[in-house]
Amino acid sequence: MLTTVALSAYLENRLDLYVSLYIVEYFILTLLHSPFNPQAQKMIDVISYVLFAVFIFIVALKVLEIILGARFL
Amino acid sequence: MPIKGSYTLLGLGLILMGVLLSFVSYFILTSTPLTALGMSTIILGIVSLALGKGHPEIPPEASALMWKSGLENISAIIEELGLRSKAVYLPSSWASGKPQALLPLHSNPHPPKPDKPLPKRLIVKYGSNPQDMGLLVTTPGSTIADTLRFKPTAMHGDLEAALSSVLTGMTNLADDVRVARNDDKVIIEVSNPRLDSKDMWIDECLGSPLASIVASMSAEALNKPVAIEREGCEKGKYTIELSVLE
Repeated sequence: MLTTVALSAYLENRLDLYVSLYIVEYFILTLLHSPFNPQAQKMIDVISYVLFAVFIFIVALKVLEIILGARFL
Repeated sequence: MPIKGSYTLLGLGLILMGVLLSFVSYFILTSTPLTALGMSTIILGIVSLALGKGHPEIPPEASALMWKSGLENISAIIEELGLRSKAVYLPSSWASGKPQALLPLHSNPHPPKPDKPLPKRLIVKYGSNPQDMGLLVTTPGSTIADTLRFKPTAMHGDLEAALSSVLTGMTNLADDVRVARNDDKVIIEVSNPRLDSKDMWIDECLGSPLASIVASMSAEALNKPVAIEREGCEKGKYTIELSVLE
């Protein structure tokens, strides 16, 4: 919530930046509160894999934007 | 409504709200911050679902009742038999497939040393002398050590990691665990333990419930019998000293 408020205060309009920061915050918070109950840990792991894949996708698109000079997001 | 259901309901509500907010914000309002807010709400909803799934089926109050009644039963048996000797915690390789505590029926200055793996019985004979008889009891530590996915080894880091994952993670009985080892002594420091002893007869023989858990896991990790030498609060931390019996 604070991240959204802070970035919108700076009139930030890049959705990938918001999502990237949410993903980083998610990993930090789950790491600080781990270990979880084994059943919860399985679901948390699945969520982590999906969010990590999204993060890598965003990073890859940014790298391609730099290399190709095009704009995807 | 049970807590587990509350988490699930909260998660579903957050996901639904997040999807609606993201959809409306992106396609109708074309507002990036609100779209991002919707996506963060979806993530929060999924995490709430995960936490609800991991919530215990049995309420903590019911678990506490079963724990207390089990301890009182064992304490009554030990008190009836007039046992005062200290228990020796055996690893699973020495007991009946899981770590257990051996309570000698006769006081002996020397700790019992079983000469072969003990059978799966309550009253067992652990030596060649007629007086080498004892009670083989399952302790909370026996059950916990049995549920570990990976058996800890004798490496110092392994034992500390295993105790930490059980006491601070699985059972949330403490904030931190530190282990120090000498040749035949293991000293465990537990910060902010949340399991206190009720001063039952059983504590004289098996140690406090926390010490019992620590001793069972240490015996299993070291694959050697251990005994609780002393335990108590020191400098704000609960210290348990175990002696490793060869």
